[in-house]
Amino acid sequence: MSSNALPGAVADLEPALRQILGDALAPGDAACAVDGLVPRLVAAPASVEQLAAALAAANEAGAAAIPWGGGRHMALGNIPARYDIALRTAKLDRVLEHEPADLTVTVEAGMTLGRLQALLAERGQFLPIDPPAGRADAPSDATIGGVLAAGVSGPSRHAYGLPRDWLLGCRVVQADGTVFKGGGRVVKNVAGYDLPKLLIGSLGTLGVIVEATFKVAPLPAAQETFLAAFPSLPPAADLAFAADERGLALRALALIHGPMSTALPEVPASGPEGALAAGWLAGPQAAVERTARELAGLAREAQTRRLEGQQSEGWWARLGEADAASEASVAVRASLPASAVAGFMERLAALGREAGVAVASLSHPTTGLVLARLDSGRDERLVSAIQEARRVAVEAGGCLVVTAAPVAIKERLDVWGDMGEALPLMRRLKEQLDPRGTLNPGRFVGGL
Amino acid sequence: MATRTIDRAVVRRLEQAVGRDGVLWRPEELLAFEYDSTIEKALPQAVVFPTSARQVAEVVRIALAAGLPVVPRGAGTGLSGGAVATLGGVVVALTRMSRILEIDAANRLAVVEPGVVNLELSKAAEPYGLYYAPDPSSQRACTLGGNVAENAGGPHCLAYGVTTNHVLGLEVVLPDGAIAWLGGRARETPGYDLRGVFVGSEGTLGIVTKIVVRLLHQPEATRTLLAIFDEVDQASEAVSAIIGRGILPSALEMMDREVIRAVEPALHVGYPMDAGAVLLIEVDGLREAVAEQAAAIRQVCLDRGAREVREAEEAEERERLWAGRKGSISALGRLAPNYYVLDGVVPRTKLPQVLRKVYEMGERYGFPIANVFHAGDGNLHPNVLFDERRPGETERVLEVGAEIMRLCVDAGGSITGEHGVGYEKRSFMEWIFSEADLAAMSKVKAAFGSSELYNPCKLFPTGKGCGEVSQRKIERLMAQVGPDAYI
Repeated sequence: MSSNALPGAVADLEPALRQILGDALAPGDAACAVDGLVPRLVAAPASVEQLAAALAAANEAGAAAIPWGGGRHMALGNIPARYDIALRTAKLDRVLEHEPADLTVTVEAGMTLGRLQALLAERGQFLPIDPPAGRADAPSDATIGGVLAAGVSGPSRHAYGLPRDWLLGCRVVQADGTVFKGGGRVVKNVAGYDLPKLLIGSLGTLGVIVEATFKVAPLPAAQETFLAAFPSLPPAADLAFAADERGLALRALALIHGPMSTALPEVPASGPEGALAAGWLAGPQAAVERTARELAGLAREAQTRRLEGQQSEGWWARLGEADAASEASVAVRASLPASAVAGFMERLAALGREAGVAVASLSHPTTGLVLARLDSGRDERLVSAIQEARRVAVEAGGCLVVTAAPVAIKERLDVWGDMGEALPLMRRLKEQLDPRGTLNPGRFVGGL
Repeated sequence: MATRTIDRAVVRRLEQAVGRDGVLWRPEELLAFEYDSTIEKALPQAVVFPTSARQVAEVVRIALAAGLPVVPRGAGTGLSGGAVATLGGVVVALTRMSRILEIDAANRLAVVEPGVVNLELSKAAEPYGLYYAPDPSSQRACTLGGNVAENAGGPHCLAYGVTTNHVLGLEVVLPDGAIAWLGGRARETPGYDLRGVFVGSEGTLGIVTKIVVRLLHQPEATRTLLAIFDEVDQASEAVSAIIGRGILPSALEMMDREVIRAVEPALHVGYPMDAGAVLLIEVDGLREAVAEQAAAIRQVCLDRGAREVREAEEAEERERLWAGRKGSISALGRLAPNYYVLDGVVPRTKLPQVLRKVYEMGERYGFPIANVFHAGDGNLHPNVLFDERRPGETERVLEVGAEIMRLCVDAGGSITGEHGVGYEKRSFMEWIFSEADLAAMSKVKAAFGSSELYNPCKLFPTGKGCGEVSQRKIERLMAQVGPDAYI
């Protein structure tokens, strides 16, 4: 998407932004780089109005802006076509409404997920959206807006579903500075188009999410973790699906295959081809106790361990940490029909052996999500391994997104894959809401 | 209403597309398609019954080329006029696309055509220990395609979510006749969640021709309680208290005194005639979990002044308790010749105060108001009881309806929880959405290539030729609400 602006217009932008933002405008630096591109300016507006005015000015000038929350998921996306301004949302971090008895909360989108969870926990509640935080020793520094825009989720999706099931409404700043909202603040509402759904996973290409209303859930009365290490993947997968089939009181079910399983704490030994099935038990005490008994029965052949209290919570945080890719490696996310998950993980491992690529994978099998990390000193091996893995995923009725990769790899493939017949529609949607291609140009599907 | 005619050449083209037995165009044949379950009547110029996505696409192209509006239609059980051909045109009836194409038990999903009746899917999934969760009260008749268009709810949506939470993928015919898949068989697909915005778009963005839905495991245990209160206030406070305690039942329904007075003599389900309100509460899941939840719910209800909390011991008793709820709207016919069904949402904690105001409103206007609704979601369904034969009564009923909607909006709620905006509530959209909000929706509509010809006069507050929602039209709306109405 080309901009109509003269090159000079972008140069004139700084004084205009200075007038809107004052001290909240700074020169760009490496901390705000995306795929190695450093923006000229970093804006950190203190209000929605300020953010809208700054974005409108950028749009007017034909500049490209990248919304920046906690910076946690900035590796996602194709290489930006242009990047002039980092638009930080961190100062928009107020709680706007929390009525615990309604089980709803409205916050500004620059609030970190960690802070929101702490706030909800004081009232015995939580938001069951728990994407990999990347570090186990601190609360998530990902912002609400960033988590929604990146479309990420975590282990709790087994029992609680995806962010789309919890977001009730949101307020969004369009590229031209127009502020609109979609949805509402009540738990059931079918008035008008469900615009919040469009924003989730849109990578900030339709607008900047500045406010979000969620349903929240009561914290489970009892929780613990069950680990079962197997010599190979199939019996671990069987355990997970059998537990699901029985409707046991589980908040999460994960499968871990490859080196990742030994990097985690408290994991019983399982040999080089080993796999781990992990269950996060949650619910009323009696249901959790029965679930623990039944899991033990299902895992008679395995080395098992039960973790309670802090140790249990901490284990799932460490899982998120283990999942974070190092800068040199490639991370992929495949979404598949559930029955294809174990086969896909095995195929990934075989692919790694054949291609000389180190592969570690983690899945939330019941909801069909596989997260894998691929390492190799040789880019061409990585690229062909990714392409092959994508082919397998698509053939299984799913898709594969590269969620992090070095620039050299991104230059050689589309991180999103083929959108098929829906792409023209997506393109028209982008053109309607951001006709000048101001927001995140080039990073989204089909080069949007 | 002036009868609109159709060019015979267009009829021939439609017949070529779907076969001669798939087109109705003679005025007497069209009568059965001039209304849905509530709102205004309008005669289409033709009704077609395609049997494939290709045929739907062909029909859409023919209609648009002829400048005729296109109106998709399922079973016609909708409660907001979504399937009414307000400006005439071609009604695309999906009832002959009624095959369940696949039940994939391993992946807990089903692929269906849009004309499949909601309950039929759960029946087909039963042998696999699975079911389809959204259960609108019209589930014996309504189609899944219609459910997608309206983002339909139902009593058990409290724990399991409405239609949108269960739709994985959609094959749709876009307004320009192109066929596209939105979403798929996996839980997420990259790109914009077009399936998400399509669900609940009330037939304004295209026509669904295939649906991939999630199925759930049948729960191991279900427990159903009936809590009986002397006062409605106590019952609505119990609702808040249950949710506030962190218990999320699978269903939490309220029926007030007026409803009980209508239901009990008609259906003999065991609701005490002198009660002020009853709550029908269901929990499901693992035996251990539901036992604990049922005990906690019982205690909360007693603490809030319940005179009695009964529990259904066996399936037959549970069905009887539910029969009262499901038959409640039909039973209202015993109390008054007419009733006007409303659908609004308030935050759950505002239920007691809003309900009080709803009753005050009824007293001020001189109408009894019967409330039977999804209390756990804060989704109100006040039914205004009246007699259209009394002069001036319908006008005042309209005013009450609008004022009650206004109450919901002022309490921070919404103008519809599950029935949709449709024709009736278009003018209320501006109460909850700003010009910019509505403009963003218009942009989405434009992106889909939709136009004023695509299910015109629905959802958006203005539309060329639609006029204001007139008094006369709403009078007809209320006359339409009969014993077959569902909530």
